[in-house]
Amino acid sequence: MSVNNKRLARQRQLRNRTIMVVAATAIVALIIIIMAISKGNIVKKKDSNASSTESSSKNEADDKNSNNKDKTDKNNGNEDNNTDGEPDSVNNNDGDTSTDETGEQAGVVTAEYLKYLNYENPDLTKKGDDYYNTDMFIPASVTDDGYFDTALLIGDSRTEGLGLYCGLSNLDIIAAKGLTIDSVMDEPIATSSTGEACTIEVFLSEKKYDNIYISFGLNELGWYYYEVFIDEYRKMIDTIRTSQPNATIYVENILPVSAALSEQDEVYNNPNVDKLNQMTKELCQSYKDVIYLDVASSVKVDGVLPADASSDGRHCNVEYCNKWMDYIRNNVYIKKTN
Amino acid sequence: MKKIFILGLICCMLGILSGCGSKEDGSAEKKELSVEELSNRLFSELTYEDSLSMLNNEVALKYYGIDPEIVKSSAVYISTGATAEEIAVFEAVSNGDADTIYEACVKRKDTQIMSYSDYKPSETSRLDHHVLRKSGRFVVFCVNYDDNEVNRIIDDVLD
Repeated sequence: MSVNNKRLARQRQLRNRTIMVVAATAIVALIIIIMAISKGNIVKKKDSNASSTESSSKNEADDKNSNNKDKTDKNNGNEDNNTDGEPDSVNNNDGDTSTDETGEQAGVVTAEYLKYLNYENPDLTKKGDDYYNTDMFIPASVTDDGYFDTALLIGDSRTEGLGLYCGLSNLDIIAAKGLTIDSVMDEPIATSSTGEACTIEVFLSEKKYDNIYISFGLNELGWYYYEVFIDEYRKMIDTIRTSQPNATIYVENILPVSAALSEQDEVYNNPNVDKLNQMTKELCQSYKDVIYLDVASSVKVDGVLPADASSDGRHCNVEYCNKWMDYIRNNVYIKKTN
Repeated sequence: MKKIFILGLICCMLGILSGCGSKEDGSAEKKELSVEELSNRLFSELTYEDSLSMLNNEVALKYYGIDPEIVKSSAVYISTGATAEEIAVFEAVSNGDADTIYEACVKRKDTQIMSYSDYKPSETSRLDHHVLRKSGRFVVFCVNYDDNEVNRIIDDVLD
């Protein structure tokens, strides 16, 4: 072979070799890119903040029935109660009971939260011994937990547990262990809009609610004079009413304690609970526009908190907190128009 | 011969890349399981006097005052209030976020001590046995009398 031919052959070999190396490199690079994309190293994936055991509290609440309620006598002589489902007077001239989302046609006040309620034909079979002025309110039930966007719970450790276990992140809660009716308005237990600790009065001056639920009484069962409890409750209601004139105020009665605790404790027993509840109901009746909510009926069985509801006879577990929250959902009261 | 050499080179590189890929997958899978595994073990392998229930994640983070944006995964169990027993396991998005979560847990612990000191003083001794640890992006807060066992479980899962 001539020198030129050999040179050409070598060049050809070199060129072929180069082509193969380049091709191999390109294939490897392509494989790396494909694997990187599949692992998300190039296109960033945002991981969801969700536990695999996260429960759907609303679905659980919907499935739970308060079929262990002790249905109290509704005809207890309170002439203002009307639980037959028909409002006494509705500002509706043509008798048409159809409703729209704002409630205007049904004779109730216009409010955004009404779209989360059924007030046309609410289920009244799950009602306990509530007090509400039928000239001022009609019963309703929650159909969407968006209702709690503008709701507030205020209370002691039981309310703290309720707020945590019900799974409603849109529900505002101001609650603390050991909180009592005489200190609740003075303690800096709320958080202001600036993130600072503040009193409830300051908190309520910054944010408006449509529905405010209050629950006290367990920590006050040992008070010598229950009249003092009622006086303090009245002061609290009056203070809340000043800064929240349009909110519907619900006074929740005291949940019962277990039979075992009731039998052996001089303070935490159901006769004391019943006595204080009766006085609380009379307080609400004196206001006319404050609701007495018989949440106790949602957890009570034969007059007591069942043994499986609590480890200490006082604080409800998640199952019974959801029964309690279901009662709140099923027993809403809407103001009528004037 | 040269073609065979180049082909062999490609196969070697593929093999190396596959090995690296498997290792990376294995590590990510272990981290995704840790919060659930750790919280489940703390819940099931320890004895609690009160009934503990897992909270909805949004509610738990709101309760702890933790921004959800800095949390990759979490599991929080609290008691009915009858005791101070609690389990909280967090995986942060970054190590810096883990510091923030750790501080939130410190605040939670201090608040519980202050609450129970008046409400139920006997629970403060249980709170003295609390375990609060940070390991990389993981933060664990657990209140149980058996803090030795709590630490053993944490060591077993995170290491």
